[in-house]
Amino acid sequence: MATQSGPSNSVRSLRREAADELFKRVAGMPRSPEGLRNQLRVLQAIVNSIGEGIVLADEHGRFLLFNPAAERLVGLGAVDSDPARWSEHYGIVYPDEKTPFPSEQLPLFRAIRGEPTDEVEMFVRNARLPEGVHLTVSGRPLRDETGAVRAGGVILREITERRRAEQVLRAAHDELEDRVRERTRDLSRTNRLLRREVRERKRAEAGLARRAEDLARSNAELEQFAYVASHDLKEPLRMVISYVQLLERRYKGRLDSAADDFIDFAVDGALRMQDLVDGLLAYSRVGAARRAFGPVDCERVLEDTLSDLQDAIKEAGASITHDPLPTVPGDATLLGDLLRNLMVNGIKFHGSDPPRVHIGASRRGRDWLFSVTDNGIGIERAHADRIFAIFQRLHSRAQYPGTGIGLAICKKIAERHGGRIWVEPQREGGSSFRFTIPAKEVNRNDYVGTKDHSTDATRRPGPTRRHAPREGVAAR
Amino acid sequence: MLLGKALPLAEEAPPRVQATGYRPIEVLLVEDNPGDVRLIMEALRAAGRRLHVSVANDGDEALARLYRYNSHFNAPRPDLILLDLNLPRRDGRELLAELKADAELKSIPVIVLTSSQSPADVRRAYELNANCYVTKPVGLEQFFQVMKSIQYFWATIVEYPGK
Ligand SMILES: Nc1ncnc2c1ncn2[C@@H]1O[C@H](COP(=O)(O)OP(=O)(O)OP(=O)(O)O)[C@@H](O)[C@H]1O
Ligand SMILES: [Mg+2]
Repeated sequence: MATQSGPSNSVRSLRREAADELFKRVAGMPRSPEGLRNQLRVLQAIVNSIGEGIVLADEHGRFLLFNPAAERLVGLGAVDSDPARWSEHYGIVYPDEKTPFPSEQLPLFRAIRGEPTDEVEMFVRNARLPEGVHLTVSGRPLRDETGAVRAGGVILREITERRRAEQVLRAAHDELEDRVRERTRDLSRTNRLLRREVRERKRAEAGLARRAEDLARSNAELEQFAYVASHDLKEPLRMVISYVQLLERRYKGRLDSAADDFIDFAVDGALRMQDLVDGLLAYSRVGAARRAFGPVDCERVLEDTLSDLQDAIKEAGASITHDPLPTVPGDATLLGDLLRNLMVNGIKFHGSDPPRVHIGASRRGRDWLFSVTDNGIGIERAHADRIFAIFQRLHSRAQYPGTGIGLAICKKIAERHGGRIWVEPQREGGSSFRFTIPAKEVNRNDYVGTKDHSTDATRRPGPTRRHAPREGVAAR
Repeated sequence: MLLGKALPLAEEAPPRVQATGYRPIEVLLVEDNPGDVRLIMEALRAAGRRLHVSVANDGDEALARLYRYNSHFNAPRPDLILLDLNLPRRDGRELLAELKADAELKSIPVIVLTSSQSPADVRRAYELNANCYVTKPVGLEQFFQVMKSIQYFWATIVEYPGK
């Protein structure tokens, strides 16, 4: 009888009809003692055997009938008690299993007050029924011929299982909802955290990107400045050099010897300044060159460099040897300048022996390791870092000509290619300059140039110089 | 200053007879820097002057002179123009464009003589129909050498129209 859902409407109305019929019959019982007894016996038998509980009470609430099913259902039999305390007595509460059911709302109570009720649900728990049962109860008033209410009757049916099932279902449902809610809460918390993290990370990234940009910009601005400064310096410098030389040409030896010295110093200073400006320009152009990298056959680059340097090599009586050189991703012009500067140094800074320079290359993990090794005067370890800074020299110009820009350019070119450069003094004398070039191109996005100065290149002319042609960027 | 000044150097002999045989090659030098003007004159003199040089200090002045030649004012029309690119106001490129767009003037050879070695400037100049592009070298010897070559080529080798 336990169903998970309530009885359908048609079933309910059928039941109601049956109850009406029963009460009508009882009310309309013949009055003769014999007939009455007979009929009562029949009725008793029916009532006693029926599965549904039946309880009748007179208008004062005295029980007239309490069939066994009813007794079983409510745990207690008919015990005369104050109808106003029925709920208390039988332990009747609402289906929520705790709110007290007001006695005057009970179907039997209302039935003897003349009110019919249908399928009122309640829960009964008492000493005899510690587990408690859920019931649905329908009540009908019983009237005499005059229509006065003489008694009331109720039919009780147990719906505990249905209730329990419903409860289980509800509990499951509630738990599910709880779980869903909890999960949702977890998720939204996670979500919030994630969002915050994303926000923070974005902010951090933006900060970093901004800083990188700032750095790149200020670098680019610096380079631009160096470029423009040195470029614009060239014009007045050309004037100074030209006229000082014109002075020298026309008046040297015609004034006194002091004047000749002054002219010499002026010419020398002007030429030196020109070297510096050219060097600065070449240096700033390394950063400004924005040509795309491509595969560079270093073997060919070396060939070109050697032919550029052939006069200097011959003049110094230098011998140049080299390993097979690889092809690397890069800028051929810049790599040529890098090699040339190192080779020129190797030739220039020689001791008493004729210079020997060897260019080596070998694979070191992801990099190609190049070396330019000479048998020259060598470099003290203490100066090994300094010499890569711009204008840093270890010798007077009288000893060895130069401006101190060559290695600064080399460093910039190596770094531009994602590599490093350093020097290793040789134990047997001489020095070995080493630089790495990644075998695969590295990300170069950190170089944010403002303008491609390479299209505005100014050659570094050699002829005014008193020493070997500058090994600068655009010397060819 | 509207009138370009011819700069015959006092101590110097008059221009030699040219390859053309009739009169010295007339040159209009468009150059704003007096240092460069003087240097060019010195260089030409050192090479033995075969060119008669007048100077315009900027593009406007150069145009004024050229249009005057154009309208057959008695001053001789230049045979050759030496043009610096970086001039105040109307710069050398604009002037070049204007000259080469003028039916009368476009036949005058223009030598761009500038300190700029920018490939962009070189390309642009030739696109504007410059007849040649020469960079002012640094260093007196080199500069003199270049001017000597220019003088030799343009004063003794080249033929001019309308002579
Ligand atoms: N192969 C070498 N042997 C010994 N000393 C060297 C060698 N290469 C460089 N140096 C030292 O490092 C200094 C810096 O070298 P760098 O190439 O930057 O300048 P430079 O050669 O003097 O001038 P520049 O290259 O601008 O003409 C040199 O002046 C020299 O003292
Ligand atoms: Mg060097």
